[in-house]
Amino acid sequence: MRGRLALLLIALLVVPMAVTAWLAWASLLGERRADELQAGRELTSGETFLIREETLALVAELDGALTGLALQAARDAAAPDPEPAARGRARVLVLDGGQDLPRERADLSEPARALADGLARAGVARSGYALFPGSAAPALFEVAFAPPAEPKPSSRGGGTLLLRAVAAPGATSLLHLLPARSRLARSLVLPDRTLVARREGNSFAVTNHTVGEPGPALPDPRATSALAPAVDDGGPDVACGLDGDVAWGMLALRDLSGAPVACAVVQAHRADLVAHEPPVPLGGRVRSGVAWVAVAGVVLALALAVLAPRWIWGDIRDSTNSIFHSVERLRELVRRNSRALDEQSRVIGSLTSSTSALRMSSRSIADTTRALTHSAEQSAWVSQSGNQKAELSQRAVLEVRDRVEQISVQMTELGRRCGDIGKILGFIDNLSKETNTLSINASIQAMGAGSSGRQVTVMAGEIRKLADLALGSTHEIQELVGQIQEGSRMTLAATEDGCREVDKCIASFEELESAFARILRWVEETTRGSHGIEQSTSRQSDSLRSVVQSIEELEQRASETGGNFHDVVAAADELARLGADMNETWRVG
Amino acid sequence: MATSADTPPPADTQGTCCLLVEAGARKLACSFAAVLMVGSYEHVAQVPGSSHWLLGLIQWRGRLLTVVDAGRLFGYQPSRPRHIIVLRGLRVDTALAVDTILALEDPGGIADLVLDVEALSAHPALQPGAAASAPPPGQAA
Repeated sequence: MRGRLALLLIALLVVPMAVTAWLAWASLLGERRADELQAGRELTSGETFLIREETLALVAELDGALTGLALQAARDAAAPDPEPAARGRARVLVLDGGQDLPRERADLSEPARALADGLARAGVARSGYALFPGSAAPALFEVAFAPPAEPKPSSRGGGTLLLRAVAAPGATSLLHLLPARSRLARSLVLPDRTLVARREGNSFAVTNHTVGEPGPALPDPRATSALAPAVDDGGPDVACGLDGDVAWGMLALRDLSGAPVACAVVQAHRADLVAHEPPVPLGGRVRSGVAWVAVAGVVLALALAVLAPRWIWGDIRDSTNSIFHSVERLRELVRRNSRALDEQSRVIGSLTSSTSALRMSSRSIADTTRALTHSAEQSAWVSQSGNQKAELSQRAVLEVRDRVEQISVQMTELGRRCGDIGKILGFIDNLSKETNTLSINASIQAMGAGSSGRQVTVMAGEIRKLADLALGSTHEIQELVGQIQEGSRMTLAATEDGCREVDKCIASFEELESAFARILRWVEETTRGSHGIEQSTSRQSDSLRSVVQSIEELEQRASETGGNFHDVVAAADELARLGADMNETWRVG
Repeated sequence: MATSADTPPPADTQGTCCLLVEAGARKLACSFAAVLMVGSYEHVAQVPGSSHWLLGLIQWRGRLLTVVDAGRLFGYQPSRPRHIIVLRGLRVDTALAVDTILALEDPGGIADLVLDVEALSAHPALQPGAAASAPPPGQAA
């Protein structure tokens, strides 16, 4: 079915287009081909060629302009040379036979000599064509100038000017004489000047260039586009025409870069030409061919119109049925997708609410974390202040220990002094005892002294009383000292216990300090962790916010898609209805 | 060896003045006539293998005294001597080791035993070279 439709399209559209394009190309080709046929080969007997009137006029004028310039150059060359002694003269040779110009061409000797002298003064090698004026018509020469092999440094001149006359040619014989187009690197050389023909847009400019100096451009307003192809870089370099019985040929002259520099024109009598019967114009044959092709196309189209219905309409019906079934399937798929979209919207809605709840919980986590961070910071502050207080307390306890140690030292010293007192008391005790014993002995001895010993006895008794008093005081003092020593011992013991307790307290303070330090480290770690949690929850909250936004957009898109799907469903229903109608139509048809 | 210090006191003081001491938890009254001097119980050199009432020997003013336990000597508890009473009028230079010298008189007659020169001289333990084991006969208070 598709192949047949494609064939039909080709037959109805492509064939006429191809025919039209072929016609256009053929017409152009014929036109172009006509020019090339005329200009690219020998004219056969009875053959005619195209003539452009504009080209004829231009060629004549160009010929005249070149001729005028050549004459002017020759006249200038004939003028007295201001430095004749310093200049040598060039030899003029004609290539054919290597002789001087034949006598019958004496009218060319003067311009040739002028050209040679000019080229000798320039002292450079030149080659090209020279159009010398003649009595009857300008003569074209192929020119080549070779400077001397060893030029004299004090003067210029010398050299050889070679000329080869371009024989009286036919319209195309010039082409055989001249080298191939790619080697047309010539210029029209004149004495001390060069003529350059240059294309400027649609104009053809002839410029007179003095040797060594650029000359002004002289645009030729009479040049037309008809002449331009002749010297165009892409067009033929030759053209020819018939003026009465005179046939002319024009050749574009180019320099080494391929730019046209001049036109060389030759003339020949018509009798030298061979002509042929004019062939049937290509354009007429092309037109008849086009007409037959058009007729064939119409016949083909009618045949296709007659033969197409049976198998085209059947294919169309089959296509319609398949479209109908496809539409039904499409409608069912659209319905399923619509239900899926609804479900998706519902899921998105629940996801949105879940995400919002998650976001709320994330926010509360962030708040809780901030509160935790604040509590941790406060705990850290409390720990730090507690640590400071503990340090203060420790210092106070250390001072207490120092004081207690001092007290202990003092008590020890007191005990030592008490010991010294005890020793003294012991001495006093011994003294008292000895005194008592002495008093007793004195009394005893006084007993033996009789009455006189009675006083001694009394004195001994007094002494003994004093000794007893001293002994009693000593005992009291000893008792007091003993009490003091006991108190000192108890105080010392208590002090030592206090020192031990202080040491324990200091150890406890150190443990407390280390505990505070650990608490502080834990609090700092907790604070860092809280900060990290806070940042994470903040990022989480941001992410959730963007997720919520995305979900909301998704929900909106889903709603839009659902709406579009409803439209699609409606369109599918409409399409199905159309398909049913078409089926009904086929069945009736 | 008798010295001036050994001279007994006059007779008018005998029996009225005495040295009241305590030895072995008993109070002993020793007349001045029997007492030469009172001293401290110190630097007593013990004599191994002697009687239980013999505490040792002491050097006193160039003389070697025999120190006896007054409490044990007279059948009382052992003394805790802190004083010695150098006796006179005995054949052996003897010193009684007593606990305390209470007074130079016995106003209340509280002494448990009165020691005079005759009683002490007759005590067999205070004889030269004798180790007395029975308490001497003395006036009980």
